[in-house]
Amino acid sequence: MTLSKKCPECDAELDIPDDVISGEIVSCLDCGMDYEVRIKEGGEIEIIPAEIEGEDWGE
Amino acid sequence: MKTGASDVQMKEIGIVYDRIRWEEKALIKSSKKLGLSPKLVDSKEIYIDTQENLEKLKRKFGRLAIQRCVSYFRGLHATAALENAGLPVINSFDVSWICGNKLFTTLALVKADVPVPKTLLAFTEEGALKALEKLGYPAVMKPVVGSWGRLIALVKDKDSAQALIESRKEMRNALLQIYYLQEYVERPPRDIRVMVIGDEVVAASYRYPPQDEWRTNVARGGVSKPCPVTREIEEVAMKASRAVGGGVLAVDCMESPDKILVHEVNGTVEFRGLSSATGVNIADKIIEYAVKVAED
Repeated sequence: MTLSKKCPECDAELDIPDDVISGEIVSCLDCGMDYEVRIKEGGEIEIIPAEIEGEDWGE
Repeated sequence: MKTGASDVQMKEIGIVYDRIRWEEKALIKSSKKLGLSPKLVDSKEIYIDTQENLEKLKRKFGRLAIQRCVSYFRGLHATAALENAGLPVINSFDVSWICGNKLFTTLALVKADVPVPKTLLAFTEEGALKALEKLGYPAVMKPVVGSWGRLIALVKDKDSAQALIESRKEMRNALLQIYYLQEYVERPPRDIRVMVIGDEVVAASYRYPPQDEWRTNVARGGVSKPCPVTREIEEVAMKASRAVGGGVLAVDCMESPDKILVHEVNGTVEFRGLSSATGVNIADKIIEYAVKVAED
């Protein structure tokens, strides 16, 4: 599987670790946008904009 | 081991999450280290059939699920559905429900004679202002549901109380029209977080607020330092944990001049600060506890 993704916002290369877990957040070092990594059934990696903090978030 | 489950099933413990934070990674690491196969379930990608049979649920969630959703209501509802089908969840629905609401937590603590700061409840501006008069200024106003110190306000006088109440009314959130008002406790500028897992106090830390801030939440930049577990801390924390139903809990305490007061019990615990301050591997302890609960 490929771990190379470009930031949809600014086109910079996103730094996704090899052992990434579905649900992990990666930030674009260039523009600061946060993405959530989704690993699909075939092992393919997808990135979607991370959920924005909800009012019921936290411990 | 009372069930006839296969070895494979015995080793499957679910971690239900919506975001992978440091804590979730630590739990995954610990469960692998202890020879388990964690079943990772991203709650955002699934649905739960309320009539699903237990065996099918176990294939997806393992024989016990550790609930780790950052979103309180998401986690609470998932727990309700899983538990209803017979799957044990840490923490249980009742514990999560109580700990997710500051008033319900306070009531459980009061009932069990756990020392708490003086807390008053009101439902309107009129009632809230009367309650604040009774407590005296400064006082603390908190939302009943909410985390990371959000919307917790130190109310210095009547004018600021009125401004705060007005802004809460503007937010049009039914829960924000419940006024949970607490005395401001004169204390050292720190609070104590005590981690209780099952029947054991596993670690405690002081949490210091960042500069120019009175709230000590690590999410607000608070700093954790190790805190010795005195007999008083241990007793109060265990009593508080039992009062809300027990499980994996962080009991937050304050040092008032004459005794330790419990002001909050957290049911979905972020333990990174506590782990690094104390060197205790809390994730290991949580997984060991989960295995024990699953075997009972």
